[in-house]
Amino acid sequence: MLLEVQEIEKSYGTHRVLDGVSFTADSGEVVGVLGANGAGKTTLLRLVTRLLRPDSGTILFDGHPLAQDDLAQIGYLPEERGLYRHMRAGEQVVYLAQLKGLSHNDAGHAAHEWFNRLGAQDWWSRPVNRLSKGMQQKVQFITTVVHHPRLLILDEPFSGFDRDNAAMLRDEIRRLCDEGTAILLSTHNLDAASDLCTKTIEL
Amino acid sequence: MKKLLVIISREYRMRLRRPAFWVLTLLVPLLLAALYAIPVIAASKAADRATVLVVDETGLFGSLQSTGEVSFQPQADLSHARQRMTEADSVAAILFIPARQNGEVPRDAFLYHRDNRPPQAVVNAANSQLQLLLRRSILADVYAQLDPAQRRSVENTGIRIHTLDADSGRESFATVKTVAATVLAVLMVLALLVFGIQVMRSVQEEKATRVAEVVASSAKAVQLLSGKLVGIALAAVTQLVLWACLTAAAIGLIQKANSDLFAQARSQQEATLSVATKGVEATAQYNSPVQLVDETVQGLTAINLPLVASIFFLFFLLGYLLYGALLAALAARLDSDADALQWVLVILSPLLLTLLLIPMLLNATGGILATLLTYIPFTAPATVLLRLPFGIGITDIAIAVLLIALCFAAASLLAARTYRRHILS
Repeated sequence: MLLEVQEIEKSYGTHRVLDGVSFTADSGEVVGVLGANGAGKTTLLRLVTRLLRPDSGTILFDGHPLAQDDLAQIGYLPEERGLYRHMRAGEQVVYLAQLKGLSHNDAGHAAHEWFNRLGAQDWWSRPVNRLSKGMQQKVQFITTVVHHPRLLILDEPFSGFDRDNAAMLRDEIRRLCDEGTAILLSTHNLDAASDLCTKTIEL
Repeated sequence: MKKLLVIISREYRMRLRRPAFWVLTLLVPLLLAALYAIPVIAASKAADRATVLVVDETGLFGSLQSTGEVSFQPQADLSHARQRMTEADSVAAILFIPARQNGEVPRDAFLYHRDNRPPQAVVNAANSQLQLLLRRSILADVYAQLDPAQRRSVENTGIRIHTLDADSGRESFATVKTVAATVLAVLMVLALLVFGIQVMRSVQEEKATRVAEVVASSAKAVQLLSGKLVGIALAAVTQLVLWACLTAAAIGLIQKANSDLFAQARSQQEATLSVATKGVEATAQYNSPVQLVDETVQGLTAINLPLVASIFFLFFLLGYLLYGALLAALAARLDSDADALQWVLVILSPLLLTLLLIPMLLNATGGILATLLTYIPFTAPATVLLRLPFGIGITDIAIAVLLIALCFAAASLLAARTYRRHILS
């Protein structure tokens, strides 16, 4: 099993957000995380990316407790997207891939591949602040997957995408899933969840 | 380590790519070179000779002697003089000495000038000539017994005070060093402000654009923070080195273009030292009064520039790391720019305080206040630079370095914890 979340609890002050949450995600699975606003979806995803620490419970990655080094095998698309505004799109993707452990050359090759695949090759040298919001969303998605993660965490991935780009994103998620990537997907969009997810957990 | 290098590299490249970086890189050496050259060259160039029309109703001051800078020309009455001043631009002022009242020499004379203020050389020349002639008229009987050479000798007698270090006997060039110390301290404060604020803005940008969440899911907070600090520090060092090289090149060009002036100043410095160390018997070699230009050039050449540059770099880096860590933590902690600005002023207040205290510190560069501020890590960088041209003990420098390093260690722990905890909030 790639990801095992066991009896996770997390509180902010006296407010308990997650109370004994458990689930698993294996290669090729798309696990939908559903719930109302404030239910703790983003908190759960941040726990799996080690941005937050649980109060109790265990997160296992590939059979061992999730560690800092495992982050190189995880891709994370946060709900609130963000890129360096004055950095060129291609350079930014390479930089973030290097932070995931890729060499400069490998990161460059992988980034070019993704830019070509998503029809974004013309944006490579453009600063992010000169891209439209939709273009920025695509670049952000590329930064999430460029290092070939084994576990992909997508927090509301369709928000901000127009219909065509949302369809493109859905195809890419399916393709990555077929290639064996485990995907943890938080969404309000029940259609997308039922369309893509192999299983769901409700918070 | 690899991630840290990647972060450092990005921060460094992004800083160097900004047009503002290069504009500032070129502008500062020009300003520093101008600061160096203007007093030297201005003092060496004789100003255009100013004409002063003299209307003397007492008849006492008819023999006002023209100088290299001012030409005194007698006029019959004030209305004629006014008329001439209106017609001729070369007339800088009218010196009017009213008639005697009850046989008494008037106590006031009047200088009518054009523009907002009279040239300082005119004021000085008029003042000294009037005093001289007044003294001469009072001491007319005594003067009558002197031959013209003796009279000139008496009138040209003056004394200039040189400041000498009691231990070495060397001229200390207090005025020039005061200016140099002030410039160094102000530069240090400005450099810390500019690059400290850059760290803060960088964290604020990552927080505001939410990119922090992406990078924090890839690298440790301490890596992100230290990478940012080191990357911006490298950009700062690059800029400082460029400033130093370009300033040195500009000053070299100025010296080459005015080589006679600087050679004269150097020989004058040796003569001054000779008088100071050998006593009055050496005064024969020291045959002309030291001019302002000489003192300026001598004072600047007497400062150990490599030492000053090394200490500047050392304390800049230490001060930058200390303030940078605190400002990064502040940026991670606060959400609104308005709040951030107020807290920035709080954090940077020791630097601003040092600026305000410069006059007091210059009065006693080895005093209790100066020593105390040297030992306070937040005020040490500017204070050490302020004391440096006048000499500061190696013990004081070592203690200051140690205390800033310890304070930075504590600040970096606090900053890393705050950064990790609040960057996503």
